[in-house]
Amino acid sequence: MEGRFPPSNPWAPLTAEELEARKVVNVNAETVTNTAATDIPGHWGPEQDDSWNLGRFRDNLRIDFHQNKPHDAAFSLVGVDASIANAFRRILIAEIPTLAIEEVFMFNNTSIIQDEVLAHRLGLIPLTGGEKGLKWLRSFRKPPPKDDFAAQAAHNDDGEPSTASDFNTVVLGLKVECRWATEALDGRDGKKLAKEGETDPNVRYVNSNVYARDFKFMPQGQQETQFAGEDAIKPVNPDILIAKLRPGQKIELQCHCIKGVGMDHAKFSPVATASYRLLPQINITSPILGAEAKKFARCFPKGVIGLEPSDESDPNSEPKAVVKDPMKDTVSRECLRHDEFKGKVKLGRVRDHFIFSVESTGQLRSDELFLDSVRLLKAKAERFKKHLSELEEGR
Amino acid sequence: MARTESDVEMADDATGGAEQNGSTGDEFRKQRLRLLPNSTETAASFAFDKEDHTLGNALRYIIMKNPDVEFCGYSIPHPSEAVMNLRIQTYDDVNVFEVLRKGLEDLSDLCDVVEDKFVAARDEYAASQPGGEAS
Amino acid sequence: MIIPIRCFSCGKVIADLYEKYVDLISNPQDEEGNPMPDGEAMDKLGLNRYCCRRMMLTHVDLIEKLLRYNPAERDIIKVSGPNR
Repeated sequence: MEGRFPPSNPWAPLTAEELEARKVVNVNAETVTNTAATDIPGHWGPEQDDSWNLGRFRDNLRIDFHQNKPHDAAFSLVGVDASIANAFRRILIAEIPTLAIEEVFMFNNTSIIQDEVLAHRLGLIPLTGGEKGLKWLRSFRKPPPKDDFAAQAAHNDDGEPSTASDFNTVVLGLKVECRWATEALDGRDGKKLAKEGETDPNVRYVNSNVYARDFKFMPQGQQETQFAGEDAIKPVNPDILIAKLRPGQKIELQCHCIKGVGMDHAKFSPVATASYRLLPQINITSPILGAEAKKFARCFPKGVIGLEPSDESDPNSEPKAVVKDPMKDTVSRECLRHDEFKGKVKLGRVRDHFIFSVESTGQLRSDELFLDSVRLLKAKAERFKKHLSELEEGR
Repeated sequence: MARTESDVEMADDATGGAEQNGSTGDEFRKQRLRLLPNSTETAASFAFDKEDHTLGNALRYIIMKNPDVEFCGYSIPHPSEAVMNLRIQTYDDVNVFEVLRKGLEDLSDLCDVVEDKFVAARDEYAASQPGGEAS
Repeated sequence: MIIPIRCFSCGKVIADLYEKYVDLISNPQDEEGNPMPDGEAMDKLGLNRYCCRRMMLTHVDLIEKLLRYNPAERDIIKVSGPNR
């Protein structure tokens, strides 16, 4: 059966080719085969050593960066199992604590955005500040909602809920009132201009748009020093449009920001997207030449397949299709739909080559986020090691 | 920069704040691992409270990498209960507790290796970029 | 009603891009005085995924209509007529 490769000798270790073959997920015209990882001791007979070996893991692990911007990092993680790579991805999305607006106290809101809609919008605004200060901040343990009995039962063995304090709560204020532009204050009479037919709200009014930059950080206690000067808590994107106002309308509110995790609410997720894909593999098994080569190249995104002279010594010889950059391929399988390529190409994906893409919302740097996810997985393992010792003592 | 424990734990074992916070500090010590009934020395099921596929699948993989293990699998019995069950069966007279401990240690070592390699790769990339430290 | 803060699907912040987007597609951007096509405008703003692109492309800014129901402006609107 395709995808299976009975070892040539079950009483010997796998050969180099067999080791390569088991690393590839076969992408066929209508099926995907060899999907499960089989590097488990005993799977390939008693002689194949697949047991855990830290030195071997270290030698095989490879990390290559493709891009490292604070808001967007892309790198290849090669040599780990899907379960490990997926753990990192899941931790990135749901378990790294970040700061976000949680509680909104409305003192006045006469805008046409309702209180609850406004509060929801405020919560989604990503905040940033000094890295040191953000690490200094503690998580805030929120009491469960009064009407959620299941959450209350689960909370009972969780310890006391936190009370707001300078080390777990950041206060932001927002106070905006829209008014007509006046000659005295703005050098133009908005009302008069409006009567003359001026339609641009920015000319007619002052403060007609509320932006995230209008937030004022109100440091409490030690926050004065932790978030001094440049390190003040502020929105990542100052131009976020929060609401629109007209003369006489007013928004006045205070927000309490706490540290939470993505599994409680998506606003706490430090990443917009954190994803990986497996490296595509294109294996041209017999040469594709001439016009066919050009057609073959068109089956793939630009830059994946290149054309080279089939005879290296003669630059004018018939062109030959060669794989230039499989990383750019989308594995669309288009080439498998054409009869002329039948039996000449095999598509696959490399099982242990993860091309990660981490797009931070801006509170923390993307590469730091990945490191945090690795440390968090380690912390989980260490914690349960302690729990295991306690469990054995108590037995 | 070296942060060894998650924020949640730091919240409790750190000196400042925890007491005024009203936190009893037992979240960190709270036992979140249980042994399920009918377990023997070589075949046992563990219940991990407040864990999910993140630890479950990673731990399952690393325990299966142990040649002394006959079977290892995990399940989340009900989606609205934050509990993850892990079943381990071993060959011969190997103790399941030792197997689980080795699994957790291996996972922790793995994370150290990934962290070291990641930092090295990042610094190397930053150095290779024009203008040195790319940001 | 008003542009959502984030993309519904992936969580990318888009509320800060909407005004730039409207400017690009409605005001002259080249020598001939043509505005930019929507696709190019979204590329320029870094909206690469189709989930974020649909947020911009399909948004109807109804808040502009609702803002006209403002008693403080009643006399102005009566005089200058519908201003849109």
